[in-house]
Amino acid sequence: MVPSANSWIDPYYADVVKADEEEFCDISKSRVLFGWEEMYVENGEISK
Amino acid sequence: MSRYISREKTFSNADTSSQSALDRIRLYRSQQSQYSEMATKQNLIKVSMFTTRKEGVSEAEFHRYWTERHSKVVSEWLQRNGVVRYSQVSAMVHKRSALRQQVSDYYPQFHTPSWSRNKAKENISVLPDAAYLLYDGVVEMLMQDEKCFQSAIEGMPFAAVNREPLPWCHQLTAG
Repeated sequence: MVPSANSWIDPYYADVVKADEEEFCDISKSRVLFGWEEMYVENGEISK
Repeated sequence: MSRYISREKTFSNADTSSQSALDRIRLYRSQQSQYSEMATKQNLIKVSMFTTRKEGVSEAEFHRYWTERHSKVVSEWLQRNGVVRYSQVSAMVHKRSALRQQVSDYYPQFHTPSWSRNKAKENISVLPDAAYLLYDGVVEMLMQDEKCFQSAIEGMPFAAVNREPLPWCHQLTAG
């Protein structure tokens, strides 16, 4: 997650979340998708 | 024994599991249905993050850390920013509370270790030409607006409001 330039960064994100991510993840090799879900079959039944 | 290891055992024995496993699947489906309904009614944005473990971290270490440590670090922070909540059964009380607040969402961790890919290859012959993604895990989140991410990083509380669907949602779903 890369914030926009000159934006304020939440200390909790910078000091805790990002630091924790870097303990076990390689963010540069991760990928992200944005979109939405459309459900057509769920619980074994066709959605209304 | 870690939760990661115990899940591997459950996965491996899935074809001979008991009624309790089916009950867990039904409960999981019921929860997903609940969130799908929310996603449809509120035009929620879905975010999938395909994650890769850091060099030098074993698969077992990655999944154990992700489950037992990182989930606790991020869940409250994300929920505070209008984004997420765990889909684990033990979190049902919090889920219902969040539903009342009309703050979206769920935060399942989709663990995809190599043994699960290998197990699939052994048992599934369809899609022989499809390539397997080699990511270690997938985070899936539902949120009211993609700006929730920015809000979380910048420490600006995201306002959960009844907003209009995003313009590009209209464009792609119309007709």
